[in-house]
Amino acid sequence: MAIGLLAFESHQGLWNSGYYSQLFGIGGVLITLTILMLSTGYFGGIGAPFAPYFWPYLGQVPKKRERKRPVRVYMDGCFDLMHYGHANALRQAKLLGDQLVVGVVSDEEIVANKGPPVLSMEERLTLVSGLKWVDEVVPNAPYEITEEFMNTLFNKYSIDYIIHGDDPCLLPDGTDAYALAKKVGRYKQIKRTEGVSSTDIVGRILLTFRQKDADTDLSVVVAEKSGEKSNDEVKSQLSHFLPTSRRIMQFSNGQAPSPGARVVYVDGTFDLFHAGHVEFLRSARQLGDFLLVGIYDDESIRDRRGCRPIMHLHERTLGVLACRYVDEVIIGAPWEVSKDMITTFNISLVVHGTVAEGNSAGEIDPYAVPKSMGIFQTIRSPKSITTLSVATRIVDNHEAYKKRNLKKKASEDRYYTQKKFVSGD
Amino acid sequence: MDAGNGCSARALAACVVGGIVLGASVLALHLAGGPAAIPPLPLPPPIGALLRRRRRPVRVYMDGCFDMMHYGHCNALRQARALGDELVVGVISDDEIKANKGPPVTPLHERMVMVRAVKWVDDIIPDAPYAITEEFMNKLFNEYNIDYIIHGDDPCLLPDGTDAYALAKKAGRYKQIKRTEGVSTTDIVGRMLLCVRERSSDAHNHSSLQRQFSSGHGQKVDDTGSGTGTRVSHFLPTSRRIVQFSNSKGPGPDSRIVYIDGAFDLFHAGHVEILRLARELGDFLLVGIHTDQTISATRGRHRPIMNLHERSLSVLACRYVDEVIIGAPWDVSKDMITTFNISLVVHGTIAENMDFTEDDLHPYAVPMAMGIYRRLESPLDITTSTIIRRIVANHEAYQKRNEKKEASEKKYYEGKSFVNGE
Repeated sequence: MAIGLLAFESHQGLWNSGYYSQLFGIGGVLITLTILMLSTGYFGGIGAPFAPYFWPYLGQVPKKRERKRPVRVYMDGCFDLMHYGHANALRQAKLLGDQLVVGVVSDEEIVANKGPPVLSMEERLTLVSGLKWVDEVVPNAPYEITEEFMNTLFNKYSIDYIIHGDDPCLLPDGTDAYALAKKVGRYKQIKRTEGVSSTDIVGRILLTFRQKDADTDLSVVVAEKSGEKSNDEVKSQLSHFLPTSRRIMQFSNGQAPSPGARVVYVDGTFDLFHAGHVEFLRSARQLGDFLLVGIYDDESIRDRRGCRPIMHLHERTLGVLACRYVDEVIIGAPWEVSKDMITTFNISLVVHGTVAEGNSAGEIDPYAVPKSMGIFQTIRSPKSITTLSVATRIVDNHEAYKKRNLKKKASEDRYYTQKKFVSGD
Repeated sequence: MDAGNGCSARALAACVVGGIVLGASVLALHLAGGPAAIPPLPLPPPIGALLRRRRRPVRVYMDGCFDMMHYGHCNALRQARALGDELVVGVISDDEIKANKGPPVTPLHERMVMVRAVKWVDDIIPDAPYAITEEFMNKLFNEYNIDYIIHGDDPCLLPDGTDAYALAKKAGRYKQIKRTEGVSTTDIVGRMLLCVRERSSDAHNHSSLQRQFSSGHGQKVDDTGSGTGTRVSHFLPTSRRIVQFSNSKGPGPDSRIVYIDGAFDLFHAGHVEILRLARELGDFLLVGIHTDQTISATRGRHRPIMNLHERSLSVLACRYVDEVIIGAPWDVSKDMITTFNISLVVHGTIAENMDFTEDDLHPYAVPMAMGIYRRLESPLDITTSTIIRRIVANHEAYQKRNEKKEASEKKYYEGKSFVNGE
């Protein structure tokens, strides 16, 4: 104490400045060190979570800007007698972009380049619009993509790429119909779908015509499709449709009806899938939340109607599956709608159209059960098209179609002789 | 003295204030840095416990005879797997089947091969008991770490009439799946028994057994009480079912694609083994399944027993199969090889109807000419005819069993209502 006092009184100046200065200095150092340590940890801590988000964040900016404008692709075609191959081509085209614009060639252009179309422009537009992957339709598209039309696609329709299959598409003068698009680098190719074409389908119908007797009515004409192989000249039978599990997977939406969904069931042959089918399915879909479509098998149809369908079960299945109004398909559905089937699929309503191919008069009513359950309904078919009426158009113009098929067969032969594997779906 | 005390007090006050400020600063900085510091720190116990709990997969158990494995079995296993992370399957022993249902068509080791080949199966318990006793249930829960025992919505009764799953239900460890309609072992056996009766009496003239039974078309069976089939429900293949059974990816750009085709009727262990060998020869296995018409033409009017879609889904359920051609042509053409980019076409040494070797119309003429054809030594000498012969040899026992089954089936369907599920 005394020493302390003495020191204090003797060195007051030193104490006032030196002592306090030292104290403050030490405190400052300690505080600084502490702050530094914490700051280091702070930045380190911040840096850890911050770093991973840094690059993605930068990457987001150009990506967002780019993502705002969807990639639009264009594909054209006649789409006469819509079939699985058309649907699969459009599905592939859609995969190459975000939006698919489809050009439907006009009736006049088809007549000029290929021969008379079976379906009218209106019918073909309905079929194309009804497909799952189609976003927009351009009616009256030209057969050949002229420079003028190509510029219209690029500027007015904001098309990024023009799409076509790997088989060549030649104009009457022998030149490539897509030469211009290829030249400007705005062309992309997809894999042609094997084993199915309008020519092949027309050929099957024409085959039945050749076997026609004077007395036979038209339904039997369509029936005797499976004729001798000596009639190969009207069929391009180089490739056959081979349905795979994966193709069915691609065409399906894979969704189940939600717990309270109202399931609507329709059944039929759905041969030569046409605009009447599309409109009927659209009307049926509006009656519920989930549309289940039963497709009869080939044997069942032959037993009931005495003639085989033009297209076989899987061709018809994929044609129906491609329709945007269809949720699920029963492949090879039974003729009669049974109570067990209604229970299994939780069917709320069974629907039938007013325009349909007739049954034999003496048949059992296939809808007896749903009628007794009070869940049967008939809806007016929006269009009066039937498979028979479509087939009739072909038979009426058989000379023109026969000539066209022969010409097509030659180019098909050439293609398949030189064919190589093309990757794609 | 006063001055001294005053100076000391001032000093103390300064120190105290400084300390408070310093402490506040440190605390503030610590709090500010807190959130940032959490990631590098080890996980607190609660979060760790949560993660630890989540890491343990939910294991489900399903048992069955799996005699003559078919699409319905596969679909049941697929649904069971969807209720958990890992599926353990109990395959009931030969003795238990004999005691409860009648003689099995396929022995245990063949049934094991079939079950193990299904895509959704993770583990197998051989010689599972028919009834789940309390002892066995505890073994499932403790030794096998099973969380739930699974069964279809149709009742499974023991010979004494009691519920085979009563214990599991009582313990709250039972879950139900939807029974797959239109297909059962009894139904398939019934088709073959009808075949026997047809051979013994020429009066019947059925173009195809499967048309009658699986598609429900054609002539009705005259004697409905014959006990040769359970005719209440029919298999109805949907597009969505094919989606569920299919793999999501196709072949890679440079995949070596192996192609094998056949009827694959009454999918059996021989089929599994040949598909496994074929798959090992490449990266992607494409299986061609012949149409009903093709098989009838080459093997006789009583084949195939199962229709095209039943056979397709059975093959699709096999873990070695990547893709299936539904209705493949008899001939393997150049166009087909090009379209699917096939690198190798294989065929087993044990197969039905090897007569084409002497025919001009050899279905493998093209791949042979291209040098991409190969014969595989079949590991098992089972054929579809083998399976059929086993049933015919015991047709009396099977007929009796089918009659009994038909009665319970009828009761089930009369009281049936919609069951949610896939």
